[in-house]
Amino acid sequence: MTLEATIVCLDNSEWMRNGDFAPSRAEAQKDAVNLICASKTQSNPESAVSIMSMAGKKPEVLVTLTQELSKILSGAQELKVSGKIDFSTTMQIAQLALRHRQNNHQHPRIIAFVGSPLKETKEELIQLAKRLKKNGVAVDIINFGEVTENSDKLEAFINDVNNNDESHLLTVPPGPHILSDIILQSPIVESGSGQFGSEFINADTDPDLAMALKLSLEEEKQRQERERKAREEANGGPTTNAGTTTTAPTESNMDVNFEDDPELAEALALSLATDKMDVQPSTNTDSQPPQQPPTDDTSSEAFKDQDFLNSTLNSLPGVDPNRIKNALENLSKKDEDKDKDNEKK
Amino acid sequence: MAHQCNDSSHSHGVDDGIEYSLNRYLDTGTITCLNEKVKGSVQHIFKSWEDRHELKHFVESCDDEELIINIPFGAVTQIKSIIIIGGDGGSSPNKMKAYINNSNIDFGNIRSYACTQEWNLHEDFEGQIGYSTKPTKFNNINHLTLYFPSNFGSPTTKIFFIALKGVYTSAKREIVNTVYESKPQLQDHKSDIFNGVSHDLS
Repeated sequence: MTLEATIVCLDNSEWMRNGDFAPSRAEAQKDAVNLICASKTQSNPESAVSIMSMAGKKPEVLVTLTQELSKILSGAQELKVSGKIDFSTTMQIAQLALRHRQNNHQHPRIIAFVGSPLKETKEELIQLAKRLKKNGVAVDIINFGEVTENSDKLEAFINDVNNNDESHLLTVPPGPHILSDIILQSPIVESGSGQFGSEFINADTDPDLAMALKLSLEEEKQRQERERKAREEANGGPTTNAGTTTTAPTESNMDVNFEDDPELAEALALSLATDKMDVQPSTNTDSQPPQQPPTDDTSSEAFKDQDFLNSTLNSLPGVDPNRIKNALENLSKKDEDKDKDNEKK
Repeated sequence: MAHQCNDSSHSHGVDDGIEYSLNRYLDTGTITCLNEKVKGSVQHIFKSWEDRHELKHFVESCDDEELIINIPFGAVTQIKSIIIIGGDGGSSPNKMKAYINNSNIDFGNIRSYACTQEWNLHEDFEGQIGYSTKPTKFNNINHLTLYFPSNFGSPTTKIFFIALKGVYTSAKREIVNTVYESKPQLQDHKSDIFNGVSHDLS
C-alpha cells in the first residue's frame, strides 16, 4: 500500500536471445514486467510506473511515469533486442526522470533487470549506488542469466544503495523455473518501501481510510488462519467422513455463519438432503455449491482433491469459497456430533 | 539580553521563542530529508520550544556531512528567523543555505539553484542564536528547503532541533472549489443586492 513512483529498466541486449529461461530470456522478462507493473498499480492506485530500455543505441524511456496499466504494458511489448546495456547511464536517466515526477509524495524506486554482463567496474557501481542512496532512491535488481559474472558487482551495488532494507537483489540462476514465479515470492513484489508509505497514508490522507484498510487486512488474515486450522482438523478428523471436507444434513440450530448467509444455508441444506437419500457420505463429497451439477462416481475422486476443488470453486462466478468453507466447517463439526449420537444409539 | 558579538546576521537571547515559533503550525508528517541515516527522523526535530533540549530525537546524515531538509507549509508564511541546535563533537552544521518555494531540490541539482540566503552557523547547543532572514525575500513562502553542506569537522552532521520564527497567515494555497451552473436560479443565491436603495449622483 505504498505510494511509489517506479521505473522498470529492461535489458534488451543481444544476451536476451539466450534460451536458458524458457522460451527466451526476453520473453521471461516480459512476463515478469507485466507482473511487477500490475502489482505496483494495484497495491496503490496513485502509484506511477515507467518503463525504460537499457540497451539499444542508447537507454531510452519508453513509457513516462503513468498510473494507467494499459499504457505501461503496451509500451513494454514493443521492446526490440539489440546492443549492450549501459547500466550507469540508465540509472542516471532514471534518477532524472524520478526527480521530475509530478507527485513529489511518491517514493522513488528503480527496478532493473540485468541479464547481460556489466561493463562498469565495482568502484563505479559503488559511486553510483552512493549517489542514488543520497537522493533517497530505492533500487531493486533482478540478476538473471549472467549470474556468475555479475553477482559480485551487483551485491556491492545493492549493499551501498540499501537504506533501511528497501533495496533488494534477487539472483535467479538459469534453470527450469519460471522467472515470474520467483519474483512473485520475492520481497520485490510483496512490499515496496513499507513503513514510509503506510505512515504517509495515515498522516496525509484520511486516517479513517487507513484504519478501515488495516482492519479489513487483519480480518482477512484471521479468516485465513481459521480456514487453515479447520482444514488441518478435517484432514486428521474421523474416518467416517472421507475426503477433505464432507457434510451431513442439518436441520438444527442456525449458527453465526448461517445468520450471515441464509441463502447459502438453505441451498446447502437442500442439496444435502437429497444426497442423504442415496450413497454414504464416504464416496460422495457434497461440498460443492448448489449451482454445480450432481457428482457421479468418476468425478467424485477428483472432487476429493482439495486443490482441484479450490480451483473449481474459485473459477465459478458468484461463488465465494471463504463463505462456503466457513459454512462447511460448522457443518462438519455438527456432523461429528451427530455421528457420535447415532453410534450411541 | 545585550548583543554580545558584532555579527549582525544573528541575534542572541531568543526568549520570546514561545510566542513566535512556527513549529506548532508545521505538519511534520510532510517534512522530508535527503541523506538522513534513519528514515523519518527529521520529523521529530521540529519540537516545541519547551522540548528543544531533548536529546533523544535527532537527524544524522548518512555517509557524509550533507543534509537537505524540505519543509512544505500548509499556508503562506513569512519566516523571520531560524534557530538550529546541532550535535557536539564537530557534528554541528557550520553553513546553512535556504531555498524557497522549490520542492524539487536534491543533491544532483542543488548547485544549479541560487540560494535565497546563506548563513555561517555557530555551534549553539542552547538554541540561543536566531539567524534572521532578509525580510523582503522570505515573505510568501509555501515551501522551504534548508541545505547544510558542511559541519565543524565530524564525518556526519547531527541536528537536534530546528525552530522557525515568523508569521503564519491563514491564506491557504489550495485548489479553488467551483460550482458551475448552466442556468443560474435567483432563489439559489440569496443576496441583498436587489433590496438596496441607490441614489444617482447628479
